[in-house]
This record gives sequence, C-alpha cells and structure tokens, in this order.
Amino acid sequence: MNKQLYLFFTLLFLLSIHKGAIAQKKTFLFSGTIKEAGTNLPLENATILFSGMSIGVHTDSLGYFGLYMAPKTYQITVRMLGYKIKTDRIVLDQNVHIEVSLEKIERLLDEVVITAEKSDANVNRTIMGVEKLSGKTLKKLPNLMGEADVIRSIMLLPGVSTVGEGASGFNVRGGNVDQNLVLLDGVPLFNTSHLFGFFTAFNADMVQDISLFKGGIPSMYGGRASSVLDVRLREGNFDKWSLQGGVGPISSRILVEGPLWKGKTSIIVAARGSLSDFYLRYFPNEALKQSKANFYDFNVKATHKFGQNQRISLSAYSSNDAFKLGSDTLYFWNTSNISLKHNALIKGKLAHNFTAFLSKYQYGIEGLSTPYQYKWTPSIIQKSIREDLSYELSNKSRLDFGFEFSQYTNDAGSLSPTSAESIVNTFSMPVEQSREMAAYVGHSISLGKAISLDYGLRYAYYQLLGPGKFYNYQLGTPREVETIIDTLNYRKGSVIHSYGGFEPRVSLAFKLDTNFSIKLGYNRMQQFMHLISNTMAISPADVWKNSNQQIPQQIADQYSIGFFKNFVGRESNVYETSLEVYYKDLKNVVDYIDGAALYLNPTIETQLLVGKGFAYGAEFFLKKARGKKLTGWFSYTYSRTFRQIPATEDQISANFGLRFPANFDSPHNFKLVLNNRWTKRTTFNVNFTYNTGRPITYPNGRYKITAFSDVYDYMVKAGLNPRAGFDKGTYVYNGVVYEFLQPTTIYQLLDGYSTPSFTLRNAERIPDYMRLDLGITIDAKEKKKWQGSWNFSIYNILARQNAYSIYFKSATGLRTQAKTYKLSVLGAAIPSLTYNFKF
Amino acid sequence: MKKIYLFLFLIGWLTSCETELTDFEASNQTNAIVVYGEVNNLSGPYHVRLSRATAYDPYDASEYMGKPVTQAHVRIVDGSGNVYNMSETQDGYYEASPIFKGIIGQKYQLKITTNDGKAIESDLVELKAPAVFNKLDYTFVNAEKALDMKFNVTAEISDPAATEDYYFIKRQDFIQFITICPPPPPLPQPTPVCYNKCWRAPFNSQPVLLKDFLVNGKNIPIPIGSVDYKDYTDWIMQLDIYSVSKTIYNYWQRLEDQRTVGGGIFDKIPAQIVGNLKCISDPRQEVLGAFVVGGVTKRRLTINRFENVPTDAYNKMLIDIGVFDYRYSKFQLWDCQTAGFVEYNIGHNLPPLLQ
Repeated sequence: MNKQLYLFFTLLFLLSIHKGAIAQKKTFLFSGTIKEAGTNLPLENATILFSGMSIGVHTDSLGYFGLYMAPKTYQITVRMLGYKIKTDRIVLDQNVHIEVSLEKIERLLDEVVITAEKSDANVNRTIMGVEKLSGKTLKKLPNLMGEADVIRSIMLLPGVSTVGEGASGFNVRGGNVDQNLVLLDGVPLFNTSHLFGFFTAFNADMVQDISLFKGGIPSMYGGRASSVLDVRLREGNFDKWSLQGGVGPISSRILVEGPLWKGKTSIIVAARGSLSDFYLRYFPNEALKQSKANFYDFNVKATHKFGQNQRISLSAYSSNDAFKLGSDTLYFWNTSNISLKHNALIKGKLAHNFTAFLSKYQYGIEGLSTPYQYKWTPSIIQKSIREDLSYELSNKSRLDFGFEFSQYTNDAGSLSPTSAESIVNTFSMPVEQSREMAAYVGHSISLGKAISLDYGLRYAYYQLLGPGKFYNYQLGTPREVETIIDTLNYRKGSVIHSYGGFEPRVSLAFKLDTNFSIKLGYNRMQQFMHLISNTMAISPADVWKNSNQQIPQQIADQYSIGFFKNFVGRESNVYETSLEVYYKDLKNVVDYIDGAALYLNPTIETQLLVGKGFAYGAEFFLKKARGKKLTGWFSYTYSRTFRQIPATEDQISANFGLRFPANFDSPHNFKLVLNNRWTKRTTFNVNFTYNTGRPITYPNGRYKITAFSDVYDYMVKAGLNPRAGFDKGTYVYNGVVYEFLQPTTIYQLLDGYSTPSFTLRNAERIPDYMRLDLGITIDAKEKKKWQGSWNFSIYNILARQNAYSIYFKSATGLRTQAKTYKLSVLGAAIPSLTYNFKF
Repeated sequence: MKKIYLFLFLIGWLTSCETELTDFEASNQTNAIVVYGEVNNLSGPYHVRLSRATAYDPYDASEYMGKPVTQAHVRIVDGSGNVYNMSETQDGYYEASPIFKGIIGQKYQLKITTNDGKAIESDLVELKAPAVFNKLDYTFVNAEKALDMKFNVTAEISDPAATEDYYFIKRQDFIQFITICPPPPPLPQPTPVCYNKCWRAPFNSQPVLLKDFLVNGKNIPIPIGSVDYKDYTDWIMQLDIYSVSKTIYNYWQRLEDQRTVGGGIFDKIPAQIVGNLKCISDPRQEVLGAFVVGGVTKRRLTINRFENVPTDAYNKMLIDIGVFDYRYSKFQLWDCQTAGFVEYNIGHNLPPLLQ
C-alpha cells in the first residue's frame, strides 16, 4: 500500500511541476457573469467570442466564465440561442470583471432546448458515457401521476434500466442499484425513493440540472462501483421574491425563493407532501382507514456571495416516508442532511470548492400488532469533508485535484419492544464504524486540435474501526455460525480491517472533424459499503453493510469506445448521434445463499457470497436536442450482464457455480422521447419504451411432501378408503337441472404439501415490456404576474398489462395445487392532471 | 411488501393486476427423489414415503403424488448404531416396526438404498423435548350477521428460556356434520337404524412455524384464527407441535415463503430448497424433502358450538342452516358415512389421538 501511495504522490508532484511550467507569461484575468435580463437567472453555456480570434469561452451553470489573456483591447460578443446578441469592448490592462444581461428574443416560437449542454458538447468533450438533463426538460416529459421525476426520467436514457415498474433505484450498464452514487448537491443519498420506488425522493422544482456518468467518470467521484448521478440544486434568486408550486393527484408542492440581502444573499425553500392520507380517511374500509402512505421532502438553501468570485451556501434536506396497510406493520425511511459549501475563484485560475456535510439515513419497521409491538431502526450517519480544486493551467489544460474524508456510523438496528404488553425481547445489533479517505488528481488537456486527453488517478482507502465484536471463521470450510472459531473484541478506534487501491480514469478523444469524434475510455471504481438485498427489487428495509474481513470492496473496471457524430441540418448541430460500446468487469460482487436470512443477523456474512460479474453492451443514440417544434431522442441498447458465484474454500456456490444473468439483464432496449411544440405555449410529449423481459427462474417440476398424511393413513387402515357410498348425479330435463344420488366409490386422494422444484437461476424470461406515454403541457402566459401551467399525462396509454413477474404458487389443501400467475404492477392507462403556478 | 400494490389498487389510482396463466407448461426436467419421514417421541409406526418429482402441470391430478420409489432398503439408524429397518407396505410407502419409538435426546438418521444402488442419507438429528402447551382455548364472538359469528381460538406455547427453539405445527380440524335420514319405510317393514352424525377432516397441509427468536422464554401465541359458526355440531381442532431443529424449521420456512409469493418486487428469487438429505453415492442425484425428527405434543380442543352461545346468535345460525342447506336435505341417507358428496368425509369416528 505504501508503494501505491508513493506512486500517487509522485504523480501529483509531477503534475504540479507541469502546472508551474505552463503558467509563465504576463496575463490578466477576464471574467464575468451572464444572466437573463429581467429574471437575473444565470445563463449556462452562453458563449463569449473574441473578435479576430479563434478562441471562445462558455459560461458554467452559475453563468460564470473566466480566462487569462494577454493585455490588449478586445471586441467581445456574448451570445446564446433564444437571446439577443450583445457586444462590448474590453480594455484588458488589469483584471476585468463584467456582468452582462441578455434579453430574450420575442418570437412566435423560441427554440426548445432539451439538453443542459451546449450543442456540440457530445463531440467535443473528452469523456463519454455522460448524459445531462436540465430541470426544465424534466418537467416537459410525460410523467406518472403528474410527478416530474428525476429517476423516472433518467430511465429514458440509454444504458439505464430497472428491474420493474415501481422498483426502487436504477441500474446502469450492468451495475446493481447500490452501485450508483446519487449526489444531491454533493451529498450522497442512500435511498432515492418515495412510496417504495414509485417516485424520486427529491423535488424536481429544486433541480438545476442532472448529470449521469455511466462511463468516463471523473476522478473526483468515488465510493460506488458503477455510475454517478450528480443532481445539482438551484440557488435562490438574488434579486426578487417569487413563489411557485403545483397541485397533483399524489402530492402538492411549493417553492419560495428570493433575496435576503438583495444581490448578496438568497434563499430557496421547497417542500412537497403527499395527499394519500387525506384520501384514505374517506374509504369505507376499516383497514384502509387505518392505513398510511405518506411522504414529504423539504429543501432549503441559503447562498451568500462575497463579491463576484466567492460564495458560501448552507443547505438542508429532509425526506420522510411512512407506509402501513391496516394496523399491523409500519415501514418508514427518512433522510436528513445539512451541508456547507464554500466556492471561490482565486485569481481567476484556481477554483476551490469546499464541502462539509452531515447526513443521516434512518429506516426500519415498527410492529404494531399485539403482542408483538416493536421498533427496529437501523441508520447510517455520514460525516464528510471534501475539497475540490481546479486549476486552469492554460486555455487547453486544466488540473483537478482534491481529497475527501468520510466517517460512517452504520447502525444495523437494534430491536426493542414499544409497549408493556409486548412479548418481544430487546435484540441488539452491532454499530459499525468506518472511514473512507480518498485523494485524486485529474488532468484535462488538449493535444493539438484533434486530440484531447482526460486522465486521472484516485486513491481510496477504507478502514473498518472498533469498537466491535467480529468473528473469525474456520478456514477451508464454508462460513456458517457453526464454523466460528474465534470472537474478537476491538477497542474504540482500533483498525479491524482495511482495503484500498488506485482508481485510474482515462478518456481519450480524437476529433476527426468538427462534427465527428472517436473516444476511448477506461475507469476503475471501488465500493466499500454494500446494500444487502436478495429480493427482486431493493426494499427500504434493506440494510447496508460495510466491507469486513469476509466482504472485500467491490471493484468495477469499465472499458469503452464511442463514436460521436453530429449531422448538421438547416441549423447547426441539429442531430446528435453516438454509438458507445462498453465492457465492464465486476469483482467481489455480493450475492446470497439461497433463502438467506438478512435481517437482525449479527453474523450476516454467513449469508453472503462473494463472486464476480461482467457486463457488456452497445448504446446507439440519436438526439435532436434543439428545434423550434420537434425535439427528442431515440436510443437502442444491446446489453448483457451476468454474475458468477463459484464455490471457494470459504463459501458455497450459487447456481451450481454457473454464470447466470443478473435480475435486471435486458438485452434489447428501445427508447423514444419526442417533444412537439404545437404552439408557443402548448407542447405534446411522447415516451415509448420497449425492452426484453427480465430474467426469471422457472420451475423444472414439482413435488409433494407427505407431512400431512395422518388422516389419509387412518382411513386406509380403518378400511374407509376406498369405500362404497353415494355421490351427486345430475341430469337436465326441459332446461331444468335435477340432482339425484348415485352409487359411487369414495376415494380420498393422498394430499401433501405441493411445491415447485427449481433449478438454474434466471434461465428464462418474463414477456417483453412495452409502454407508451403521452403528455400535453400548457405553459403559462408570459408577462402575467400569476403564471399558471397545466400538465396532462397518460401513462401507459396502451393499457398494456406488462408483466412484472411470473410466479408459481401452491394452493395447498386443494386438489388443484400448482398455479401460475402473472403480476402486472400497472395494468391500465393512468391519466393525471397537474396544475403548476408561479408568481 | 406486496401490500403496496394491493394498497394502490384499492385507492384506485393504479390498477395492478394478477392474472392466472393456465397455459404454462414446464417439462419435467428433474429426476429428483422426494423423501419425507418422521421420527418423534410418540408411539409409531413411523412412515417414510419415497417418490419422484413430477412435471409442473397445474391441473394434472392423476400423477400429482409422483411416481413411487419402490423396493428401496429404508432404515432408521440411531446415534448408538441401532438400525430399525422399514418395510414397504404400499408402493413407495415404508413402515417401521410399531414397537420402535423415538427417545428424547437420542439422535436419528434416515438411510435409504434404492434398488438401483443409490445411497441417500439424512443428517443425524437429535430428538428434542416436546413443547409445552400453555393455553388452548376458545371464545365466542357474536356479530350482526350470522356469517360473521365465529369462535376465536387462542393457543400458546410456553417457551423455555434456556434453549433456542423452533416449532413446526400441524393443524387438523375435525368437523361434525349431520345429514337427514330418509322417511321410514311403510309398516310392517322395520325402520333401519339411521346414522346421521359423521366427521369430516378437511385436508390442511399448511404448517404454522414459530421460533423463539426475539421472544425467547415467553408464552408464544400460535396464530390460529377462528372457526365459523354455521352449525351447532362439535368442531375439534388438533394441534401437533413439533420441537424441531433449526435446519428443519428453516426448510419449512423457505417452503412457506416460496408458497406464499405474490410476484411482487420484494419477493426473493425462487430457488431449490434442499432439506437435510443428500445422495452420498451420486452427488448429481438431487434429493428433496426432509427427515423430521422432533419431540411432539398433540392436543385436541373441542369447540362446543351448542352450549354457552347466546340465544339470538343460535337462532340466527339456525336460519342459515336452512337457507344454505347445511344438512343436505335433498340427499337423505341412512348412513352419513356413505355421503361421498361431503368433502373429506371420514365417517363416524375420529382417528385415535396418539400419545
């Protein structure tokens, strides 16, 4: 490990020398902020061009740009599609900062943009496997029950799949749900779902933009093995107060933003709450009246600007879910976090971003039935600090480096009685302490006009800490409670086990012409915390487990190649196309023994298996990102993902050690998203999804267990089976059914416990999935103080009963004992109407 | 967890639906041998049944028990090395000597050699002390509608605090029924004796499974539910509580988990459930089923549905007997034992309660 650290810091040192060598000439900082006139909202991707020069610069998400230039007088042009062009003259004989407001062009139809990026970003940026959506695009997509939804929206992107309708989380390029790092303004979320997975746990009104990194993951990100979903939240308006909200069939929401100190300090507060409990009271069913299905989420973010180049923000987020049917069991999960950020641009070249946060994810079950009243409340507390620095070495070269440190308290959840009459005993589960440290450096450089390189290295180090009781298992035999040979008690702070390793990230792009590039990428990710779930979809009661002696870190290596070509129509860069091919190698993936007992199990490692996996695929993407009327995209993905859990000296195998498709393996995947603007205010939206059904385990037979044969045996011995008797007979005369007694032999069949016999895991598939959604959005009239807009959507308009699962159920005690069922989660078209307002 | 779908269905926003597939066919690709046998602390004879797994065919009732495995050499071996051979009394049905009785604390193992030479063995399992009943009782619950009237049955196990205990409980109900005798023949013919009270014993092949995890040392309620009040005849409920090993408990629990799946997103991935038997001569030969060794306590509760019932409830019940023809008035018989139209009719007598 020391050798690895030495190499890492050597690289860091070399890069810093490189940095020093480049920044030599006398230059001044030219910076500025571009905003929308009237609203003062920052404009991302506005272009600043310099007359007579080939260089240009784009604004970031805060509308900011900055670059060092030689002292000179420049004629600049600031432009952005949909806005009037502005020109200005800048005398750069010292550091200069400008503020530019662009006015909207009043046209019958403004251009619609459904990307958060500039038009040629797909070809020009070095990394691939990145998808970006703006908050505005999210709200234009047809939705389920009126809820604009982040995770449901990214399901429409290539390479993203789910195990089924309503399942929590998402799968990216063959990775498990827990292998996605979901960052809400830089703070990781352990659960992203409301209502068991039907909706995302954060408010789309708060979303500035989302970036999904499927491959080419920058070295600043780590901690999960498969992908990064970076959701950035809005800042409040620094100049005027406004209120917006919406009323939908599932929830209502409100957002208030405005200046606390005009131009200096802003605040934005958003809240969303479900209405389900209100409806439930009116159902004429006692069980439903006692039921609960509520959720809420709340965001607040205050930002203060110190001059033009420095700001500090304090954010808090809280989400809560509670669900029970009838009066027996309450499921709950909630997330709370508070974060502090400080950003500064130092001398125009060094961008500093400091983040500190405290996050708590708590979940569990409350038993309410007599005499089993109890409460089980596991939780994860994460305390982190991170510093991200970005240094512009030149216009063509940037160095990113930083570190992060996280401390985790993972409480597996003790169970305790909640009433005096409860017969449940208190049961204690361990509280695990761990910490993760990482440092990274990344360098982006353009090597001439045609080649750009983005490479970096991250070193992540993990320690499982005391206090705690941990078990040593007998070597050479599968782990079981019976094979524990030693129990080790560790003191507070002592290191029980550690893992670490380098995570190289490389992206290389060859730009063959202005509209065509070929890219290559490789990245490695490590993950030290694992979601333990052996159900089809993850549940909110699933526990997270730290790596320990028996469970090493998960490692994913992804290799990819991509071809990006934009076809120029009447307007530049109208059609973006890409083909990305990837192969992902997964090490130390967690699997489970058949019938694993995962809850309240202090020796849970006896239920876990460690194996390997791999995934490969090709993603074809065609996107019309801009247009006055029609925008949208089409994608086709061919992908496979497999797991293999061989027997080793410490564990048994799963599926006889043979490779099997993962639960969410879906080879063919078609997605179509279209937005067609009918009038300036009315947009028609279509989503179409078709994919191969997910794998399923079918029975290869069935059998009976004769545990319940006492009565049968008695009848045989007593001479009653068979015996003479009478049975009903019928005949029909003149349309009337007559019954009569007729002699018969009474013979009872030997009954038993009927059960299917299963063999290879996930060897068959459920039927293919297809869904068409339509939506109409009527935007508010501009220039009105009260702006009301409507969204009408029909989800699954074909009313197709897509199979969620095929399952096999034995109806014991009856003659017809083995049955097969298909479950469709959504079996009908679901219309919804949502009203949104803003003033 | 599938409750969420039920919930969403009920509140009318979503329309989750479950459809029975009647055309599903899985060919029989398994040659697994299915074994089930028991040894307990009560008098025998104990039985072991051997069969083969069958095709998964939902409506094939004729072969649903599976082809019997005949001419096997079946014996029970105890921890002291004593061997108790079993003889084949029917095809695939093997019976031990009636004088062989399990002893608490002793270990037992099932050994089978099939006629094609395959050797199957179970784990060596200790016969645990039987559970102690703390309570087995019932109360009448009145209701406005006759169909909602019922007898709530409560039962409890007194769990010992010193041990980790697992319970496998069988429930068998015996329900007395009454038929109507035909009119007597004209004189001088003698009036035959009319037997109009018989018992039916509905097959009830769903175990109740309990363990003392989280409730160690407490009186653990057995979830039984209620019996109906459609007639005033006796209803006898028999509970057989087996105190079994953790392996056997987990085996039955997994079977139950798999039997009660709802296809929902929180179902576990189905997998083959292997008990405590394996083929030692050929590891590729799959052996399913279990050899259950456990101390058993059997108790019967007679629910008197005639006495101590409020008069208004009794009268409402009498009306329903006529309305729903619970006495089979169209099919009058001299002997209710011959009533083939009454499901699970076991005749005049109850099976003996082995102790």
